[in-house]
Amino acid sequence: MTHVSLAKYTAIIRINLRERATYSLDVLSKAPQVMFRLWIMFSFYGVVLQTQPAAAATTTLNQLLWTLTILQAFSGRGHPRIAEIINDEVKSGLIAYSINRPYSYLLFQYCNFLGKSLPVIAARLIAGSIAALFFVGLPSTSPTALLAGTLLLIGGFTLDFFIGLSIGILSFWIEDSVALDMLYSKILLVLGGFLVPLSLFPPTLRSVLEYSPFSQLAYSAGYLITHFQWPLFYRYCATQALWIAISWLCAYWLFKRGMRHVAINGG
Amino acid sequence: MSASIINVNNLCKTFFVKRPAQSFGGRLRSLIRPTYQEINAVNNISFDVADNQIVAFIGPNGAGKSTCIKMLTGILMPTSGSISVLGLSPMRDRTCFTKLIGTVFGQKAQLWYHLPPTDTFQVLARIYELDHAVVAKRLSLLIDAFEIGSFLHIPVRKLSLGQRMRCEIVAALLHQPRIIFLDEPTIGLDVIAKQQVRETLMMLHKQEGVSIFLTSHDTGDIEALAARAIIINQGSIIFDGTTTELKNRYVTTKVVQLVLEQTTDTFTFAGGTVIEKGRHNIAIELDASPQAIQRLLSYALENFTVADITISQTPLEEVIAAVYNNTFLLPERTL
Repeated sequence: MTHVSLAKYTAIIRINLRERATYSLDVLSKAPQVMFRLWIMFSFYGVVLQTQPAAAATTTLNQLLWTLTILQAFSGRGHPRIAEIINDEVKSGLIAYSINRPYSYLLFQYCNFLGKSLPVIAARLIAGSIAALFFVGLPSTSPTALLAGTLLLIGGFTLDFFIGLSIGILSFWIEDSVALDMLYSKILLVLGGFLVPLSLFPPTLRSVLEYSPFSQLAYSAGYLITHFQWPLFYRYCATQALWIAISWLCAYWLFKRGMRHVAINGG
Repeated sequence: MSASIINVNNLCKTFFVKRPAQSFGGRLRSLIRPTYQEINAVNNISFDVADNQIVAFIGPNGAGKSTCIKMLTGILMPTSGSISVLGLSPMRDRTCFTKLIGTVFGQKAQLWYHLPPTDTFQVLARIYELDHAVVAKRLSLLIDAFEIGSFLHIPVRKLSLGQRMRCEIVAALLHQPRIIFLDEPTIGLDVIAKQQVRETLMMLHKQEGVSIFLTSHDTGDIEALAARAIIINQGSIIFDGTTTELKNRYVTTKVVQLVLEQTTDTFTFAGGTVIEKGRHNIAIELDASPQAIQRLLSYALENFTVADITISQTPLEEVIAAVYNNTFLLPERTL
């Protein structure tokens, strides 16, 4: 990719960041709800770990809460959904502009999503970290674990984008894919460790879910930051890379097929 | 005659729209086996557009003009037929193709809603990989031409429709396209804004030789800009010729209004029909040929003292409305 063609994608990220900045108060006002959620989780899992020795043997409250802090930064109200963005474009007919410019549509949407998401994730991460620091203190981690976790977070973000994009592109056929996206987000909530950390799941189910795409969105990164081991990092990287490749192929195939089915609403 | 820049051959577009069932049982059945209604939005149309032309593509609501423009710009895939624009296939050669065309869809916005237009222009400059110096020069020209300098730094959401539309057109022209597709560019604009948009488009057409393919319900756009009109109705082309030809073909009568110093009691002219008669004024509808008008004027000037004369013909708007309604007997298509 040439320098010139990269510039167009960074420009798309920048304009989305600037647009988010015009509503910075909205972003900031939604971030504190993470603190409230973490307080509920801190209270709930504090009791769970005290009363369930089996669970307490696998993790500590500090590790659990910091893992959940990472997960909470990536979910919840105010966080843009790529499927919703594409769905809105199809419904409003704005797709007439967005597909017809000299760029890769998939990369354009990735940059769009990145620009819209980064301020929200950053605000939620800061709010969550303040809460976690207050409840359980500093995380038991290392610079290597943080770096490895950050890499997995970037991968997880990309994986979430491609899965969401595939769902969004379905609106080329069905015109409204919001219901499917809601289903996806609910599956994530349960099977992606966003509500109940996978470390508290039964061992067999946990090992199956660790190979699923849902755990690779944010749970793998959150868990690795607080439980760093090189073999685990390699395993998560391989699993995540595989799911990114599959979801990218799926999104690309759907997009190519979907272009034949685009119907622009209204005049 | 310049070379063709748009070639459309036997173009068809069919949509399948789910047909809702009336009964509850039918609705349940349609979940498993939906029934579809076939709609032929564009039905086997062919035409060419020469370089440096302004073509108005007009038709009533649902005639298929927007579907056609979207196929020409590579947004919709034709069901059958072929399209070549500037020697490229809009769908297959999308990346190259989009650099050569500009599009404005009057009912949709490409400007970032919460940011000033200048931010969108800068991003589009990057997307189209334009050089900084080229962009600065181009923007300066367009800002002056469309008079948007005073609100360039105001968020789009705070602009009036006319201001926004002018910025939309600037965004479409920024990369100096060879052809621009305008889908109802003056929709919702006031008289002054419409006039400004038309004048600027005409100026750019003359100065830069940009071709314009335009759909509009406003006959003012067609009269002010287009030398050629293609009329589409129910997916088929029913007229393709110059706008003058359109008028000449369908405008068969003219109305001459005379104001006389004498009373009109003794005014008797056999070559026309009196459609209005006052004490000193009279309106006569007669054949649009120059001879008929000459005969009337000779009669009037020889027998009366004429204080004022007005000669009017059917406005283009009424001509087009009549064509849509099949009031006029449609002739063979002119190619």
